[in-house]
Amino acid sequence: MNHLLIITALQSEAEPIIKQYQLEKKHHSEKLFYFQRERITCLTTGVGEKNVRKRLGAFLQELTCSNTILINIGIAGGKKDSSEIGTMYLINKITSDKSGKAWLPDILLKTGIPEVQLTTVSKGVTDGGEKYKGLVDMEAAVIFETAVEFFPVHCLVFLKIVSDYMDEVLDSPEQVLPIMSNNLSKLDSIITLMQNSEIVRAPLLNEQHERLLTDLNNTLKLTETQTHQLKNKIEGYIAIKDDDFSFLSNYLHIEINSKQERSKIFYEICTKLSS
Amino acid sequence: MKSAQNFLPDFSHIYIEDGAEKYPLAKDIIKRFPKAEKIYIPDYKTVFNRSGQDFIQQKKSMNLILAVKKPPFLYESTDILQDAGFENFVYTTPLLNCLYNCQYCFLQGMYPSANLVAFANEDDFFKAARNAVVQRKNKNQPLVLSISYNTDLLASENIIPFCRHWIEFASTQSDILIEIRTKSALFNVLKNVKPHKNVLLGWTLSPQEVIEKYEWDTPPLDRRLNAVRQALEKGWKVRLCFDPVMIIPQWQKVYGRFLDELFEAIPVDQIYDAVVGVFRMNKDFFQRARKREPKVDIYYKDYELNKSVLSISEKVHEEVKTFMLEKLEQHFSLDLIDIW
Repeated sequence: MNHLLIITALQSEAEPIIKQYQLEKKHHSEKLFYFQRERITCLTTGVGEKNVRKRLGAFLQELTCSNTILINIGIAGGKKDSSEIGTMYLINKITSDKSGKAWLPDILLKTGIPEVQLTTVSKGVTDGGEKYKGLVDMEAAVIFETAVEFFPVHCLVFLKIVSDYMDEVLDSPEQVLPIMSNNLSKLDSIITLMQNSEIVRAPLLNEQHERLLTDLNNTLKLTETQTHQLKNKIEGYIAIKDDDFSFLSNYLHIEINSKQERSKIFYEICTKLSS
Repeated sequence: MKSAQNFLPDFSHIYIEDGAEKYPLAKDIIKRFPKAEKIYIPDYKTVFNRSGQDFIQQKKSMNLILAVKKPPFLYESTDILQDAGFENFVYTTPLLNCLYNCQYCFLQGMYPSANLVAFANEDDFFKAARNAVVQRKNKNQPLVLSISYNTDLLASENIIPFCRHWIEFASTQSDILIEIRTKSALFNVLKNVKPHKNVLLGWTLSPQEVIEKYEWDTPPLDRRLNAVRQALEKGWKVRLCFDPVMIIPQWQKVYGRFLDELFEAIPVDQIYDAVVGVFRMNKDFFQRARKREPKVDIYYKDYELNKSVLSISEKVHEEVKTFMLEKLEQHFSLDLIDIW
């Protein structure tokens, strides 16, 4: 099952999610906390570029799950003629109002959610937002920019719920909570889809394989080139035959006392893996 | 191989580069996908060259990018491209990437994206081809132009009618021979197009065992042969391509049986010529392809590196040449066989 990292800007956007999935508060550092249970993690970044860069950047630096999908969910301003208040949209293009740069998530799965583009602005828009195409928020572009350093583009999902028609600033918990709560069932179906999809591929070598490889390197005192060659041979063995190369564990008890001994054992292992 | 449960169908999204939409070809393609999400982009590379793309996952739900090609429109031959002995050999790339997913193909490691890029400014390509005819080095030979090099154009003809347009163009020119190499069984899309001597349809054929193991998402052999027969009946020039001959267990037996059955199934005397090649891939593309799809056995065989190209050993290569030549000689005169 894939791990989901849900990112919100406001705590009130996260609250219904925390409640729904019974997430528990945990501390990343003294000042940065998040909520988690099993395969769902929720992090609130705070509003705007600066907060996202600081908090999300720090969080992702230490995230160890290799099969994570990031979902950014939150409220956004919409256009009266092309969006509906309370409706959830999947974002297919994010433009930074500040830099003009466009970010394009890779939408590969069937979500059934209507798609729209979005502009990330630095200040709340209350003039109707005539000049913007699609929706407007304050974080998506910088979330994408930060997260794309850690995730493939198809593992970045942006969901926005229209809260207003860019004619008022709407961010109090009383206003945000019902909008989020009303969309929880839709979010739940997306979470189920993402968790169970084959969209994140498992690496050829699993953690156990990697551990055995590391132990072999240490025991046999392999050179960098030999390490690379051994990894290559093991991958080939798995690709062509199967993933059981536990017979290599026998070599973990060997003592290497010279380069000649090392070369001999290395050659023996490579021959077995190639046979 | 496509196992695309929960994945969107191909071309659910069409990315349109600024300026591409005005071309008739782009308008035609957009019309064919009324339900697709249209996303406008400043440059096709914004999507195609994004970092962090997953080629293998994108193959399960390919999207289309409409763009305007900038010069050059034609390219000189490469070390891994067969020129069949023609001196004025060039290739062009109206479409980048392929609907098929052949594991031995250099496209597995060439581009950062599995999405298709269709260049809508066809007239610029045609103009470049006309100029190349005039400027070709050996005036005793035609300009030979491969138009299906970084793709399989016939396979995507239902979506993007490049073949029809190129055939129409070639039919109005002299001293040009265009080659459309394919694995497609979609010959019907050309049924109303008049065959022309300036057009060569080349079918890549492999034993069914090889098709199933490596030529993912391609039509089976019997359907390809059916397409070959239809093309011959209509009077097209048809080339048979055995490229690459894959070194699988008992490859001589497998290919021997395949060739025997093949020459029973088609009127060989009507075939224009035959080309044979072996697996070869640029070293960098090979490494990238292996990283992307590490479970394919091709990437763990012993190859020899020559001028940045990885290929089977010279010894096995010679065995392939001898074997294939012996088989093909029974049906073709030597001058009609090009072995790479």
